Amino acid sequence: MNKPNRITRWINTLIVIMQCGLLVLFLLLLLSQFSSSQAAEVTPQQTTVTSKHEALSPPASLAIVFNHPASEQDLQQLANQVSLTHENTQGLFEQTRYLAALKRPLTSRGTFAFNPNLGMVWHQQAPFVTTMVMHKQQLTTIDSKGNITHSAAKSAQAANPLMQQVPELMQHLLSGDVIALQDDFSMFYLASNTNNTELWSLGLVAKDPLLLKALGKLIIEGRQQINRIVMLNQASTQQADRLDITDIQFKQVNHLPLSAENAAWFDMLNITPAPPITTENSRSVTTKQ
Amino acid sequence: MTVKPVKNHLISTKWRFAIWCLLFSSVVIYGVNLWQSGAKVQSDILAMLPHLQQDELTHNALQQVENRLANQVYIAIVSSQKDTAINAAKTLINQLKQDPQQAFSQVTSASDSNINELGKWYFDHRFKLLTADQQDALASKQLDGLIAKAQQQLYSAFGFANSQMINQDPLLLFSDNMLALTASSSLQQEQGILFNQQANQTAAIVIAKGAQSAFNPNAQQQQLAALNHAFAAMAGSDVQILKAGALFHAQAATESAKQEITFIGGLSLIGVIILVWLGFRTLMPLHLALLTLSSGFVLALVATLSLFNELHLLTLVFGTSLIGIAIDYSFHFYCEKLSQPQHDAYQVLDDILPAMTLALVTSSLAFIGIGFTPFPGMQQVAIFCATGLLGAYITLVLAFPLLANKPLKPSSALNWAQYYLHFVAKLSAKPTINKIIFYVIGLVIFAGLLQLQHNDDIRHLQQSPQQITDEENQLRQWLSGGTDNQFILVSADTEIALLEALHQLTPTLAQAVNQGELTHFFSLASLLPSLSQQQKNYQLQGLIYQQNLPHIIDQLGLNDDSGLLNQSLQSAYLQAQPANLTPDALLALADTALKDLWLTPNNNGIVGAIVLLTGINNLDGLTTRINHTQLNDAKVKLVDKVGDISHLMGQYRQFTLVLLLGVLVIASVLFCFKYPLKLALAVIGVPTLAIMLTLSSLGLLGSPFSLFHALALILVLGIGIDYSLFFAEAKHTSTGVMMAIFMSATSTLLAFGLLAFSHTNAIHFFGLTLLLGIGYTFLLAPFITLITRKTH
Repeated sequence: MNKPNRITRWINTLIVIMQCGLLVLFLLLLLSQFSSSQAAEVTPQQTTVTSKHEALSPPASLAIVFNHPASEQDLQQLANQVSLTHENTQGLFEQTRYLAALKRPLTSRGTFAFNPNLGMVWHQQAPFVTTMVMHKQQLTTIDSKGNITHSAAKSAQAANPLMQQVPELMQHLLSGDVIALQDDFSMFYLASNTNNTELWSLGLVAKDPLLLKALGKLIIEGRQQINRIVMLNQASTQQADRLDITDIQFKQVNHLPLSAENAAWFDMLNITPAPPITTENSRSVTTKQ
Repeated sequence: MTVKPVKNHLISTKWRFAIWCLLFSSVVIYGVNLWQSGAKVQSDILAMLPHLQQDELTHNALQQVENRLANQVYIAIVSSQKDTAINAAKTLINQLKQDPQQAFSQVTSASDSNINELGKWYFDHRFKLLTADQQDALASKQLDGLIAKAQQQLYSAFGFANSQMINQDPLLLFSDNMLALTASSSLQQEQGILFNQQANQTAAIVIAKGAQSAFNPNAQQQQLAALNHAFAAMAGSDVQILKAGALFHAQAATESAKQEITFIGGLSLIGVIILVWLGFRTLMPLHLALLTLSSGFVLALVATLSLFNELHLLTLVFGTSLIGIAIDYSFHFYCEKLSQPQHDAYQVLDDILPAMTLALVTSSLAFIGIGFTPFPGMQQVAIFCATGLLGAYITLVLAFPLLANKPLKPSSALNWAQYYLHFVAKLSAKPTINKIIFYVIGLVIFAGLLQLQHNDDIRHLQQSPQQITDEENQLRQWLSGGTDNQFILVSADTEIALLEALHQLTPTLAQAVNQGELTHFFSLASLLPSLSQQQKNYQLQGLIYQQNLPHIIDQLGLNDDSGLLNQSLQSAYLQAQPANLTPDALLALADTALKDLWLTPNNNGIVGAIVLLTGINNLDGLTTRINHTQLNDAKVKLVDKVGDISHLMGQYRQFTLVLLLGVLVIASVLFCFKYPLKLALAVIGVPTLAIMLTLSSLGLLGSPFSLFHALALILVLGIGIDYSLFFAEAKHTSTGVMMAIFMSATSTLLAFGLLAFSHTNAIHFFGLTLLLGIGYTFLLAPFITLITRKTH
């Protein structure tokens, strides 16, 4: 075996870990939404962002959830709600990144789709067009000029103790086993009963310091379905209170068959339905069209 | 030599026996003393391999590469459930670490090096790193593309772009560099366990380093016991265990050597007992034969131990064959006694001593010839056998007159010998049959010699059981390709030149990979840009940090109203100028596996680097390619120890054949003085013809001629000359000699010939050659009587 390669693999890991980790976490969390069977069919053309929801609390204020460690009972209740009955999940997203180093927040929006066999499409439409397709262990990025970049999440995953957590997380979430997440994460739970529907937020703090550094603190907010994910990362080593905040909101989520546009992304990369957890020898290749 | 027995008459039989007792008891005491002061039985197969002549750097490189793999045991735990495999691997590691005897000094799975430190080190030197694309963009002053790319990363929630990063690397160039430094592999790691997944199966990999050499029998037992104990602890879980390492080859070799000693030694002993009973109708000769053997064996053992301070297990295997020759002496004595019943032991001894002494000298010469080969193991065999024969000879001369004076009952065996000699005489009296035999022999020799091929590949010589090799190959697949024994050594006067040379070599090797000569290679070049490239990269980044920084900050929307960011980035760039990425710094952070690829300067101040090769498909093509590669200020060569040893074996094979020819010539000259020309030629002709027939038979059998065949031929020559000498020296009648030759040939065939059934190819070749050679000699030797009869 070729030991020195491992070193380079670890280095790679540092870079791709967040991409993979967060992507997978997203998939899972999205997947575990509850259904709203009456949800209107949404096509990628219908990208008008509706803001019929009540005013959202500022993302940083969500951190209050971390004052409330989750009890077994809380998690059990949540686990009962998180049931997985849907093949597909698709909808719109609106994302705002508040990076401490930047003058202005970066706002983007687009569509997403998830299928447990095919993977996930994250299609950003504004302010510029770019698409990420994650299939099995490979992340493909197609930029606005049509340049395609493949990066093997697997090689990043190689020999990295952190990335290995992600598939496990997936399993736990797929089986609705929120309890099992406690092995790797400190859990926080806060629910406020307003308007008959309970608004809850679940806070996840990785127990492993390296994983924490890579993922940051995670907050998932939901009511009838998960509708918001907030990530809090420390922006400066000196000032602990300076934060990079990523705030993603999901809208018009449905569980209908994949729209033609979303299916086309998978087709383009020759992705056909297959069991999600099989592996292949993939390598980093950059191709230009 | 013939004067000696006359002198010995002066000493009485009892005195002779007393001298013998004194001699051998002192030898035994000396031997026990040696054993207690630490002499050992060595079963390291590698110790048998010849020493190669190499320059210091190559030697060091070989040692480092060998140490990487030496004494390592690789274990893969395969299961359809990943958790099962990983948990089993954890159990295994714990068990091995808790082993009371500490058979393994190190049990690891995932590597120990600190990824964060390494990442930080690269980040600190980010101004010296650029990918090829980035170099192109900066060289053509196209900053916009790089800015757009950075912007894209900033928008992505899944990227790693954050405030900390952009404040130090505004165009986020570092991430692409890290990706470029990354090699592909399918190995992953979880909970400190290295694993690989293929087709819904997971293999967790554990690497254990033996505290002592796997070829040390005690350490071998300890390591196997520790492993078995650990495997037993995992028995509950549904896993398949694959293992590989020198340990298992050594175990198989030790076991087969032990089995073969028991089998070959046992079978030849039983055969000899039956032979003696049939020949003499009493087991009395057997007692004395055993005495001869054991005294020869003791002397051989002590002599070998005192010279080498260890006894190779292979020496013992060859040594059992000593039975075959040593027993000849007592057979010869008894046969002569049987045919001359009126003589006492003294006179019998007088009769046979001249032939015996000549035989001892020629056999010893043949054995000493074997000792000239570069194999430490074979040198032991030579010393062992030569001293063993001397021991048997001394016993015959000193102990037999007293012990073997009892008269023998007449036996019908002598009559059979008589019949056979008559048959030979009759046969040779018919010219037509003679002619036919002559032509047949000529044809066989001609056809056989044409078919004879040679093969010096040492991998051909030692063959481990198929099961071990299969298991190893399976494991190799899980390890995503094993490192081959061959590697490339690049050497230069300075580290800077060496790194430069490694980069120059990379395209050559990439081309070799493209052409399918090998599947993968790894050198430090993939982790370190050359110094000149680092300086170029630094200059190129001046475009960012010295000329366009305000523009970039503005474009990306970086928060820099105070201008502090601009300032700090510029000063970071300037401060980074003197610090380069050096091999030393990289190796200080990396794990030991990487350190082994860099050779510290030797006395001449020359530094070397090893390029590891995986999956070589066309070694010749690759060697030619490397030999034709010219590097500036550096030398490159492909080191192939296996190939070099094989080449050396070929040279010694030829040397041995020359030696054989030399012994033949010397012996013919010697015999010409002692015997009439015709007899001398016959004495030499019998072994020569036997050797020719053996060679052609090997050709017809399709056994490729190797050094071990050649070594056996030397023995054939030694024994062949013995036989013809006994016939030539037979004064009164040849029947006693014929019987003795029959008995000794049979016993030799029982001892040596059985080696042909050995599973170790080297021993098998040796045995097969002797089987053929002794067989032919036995058939040919009686014809000498035809000449002696005519001359007497």
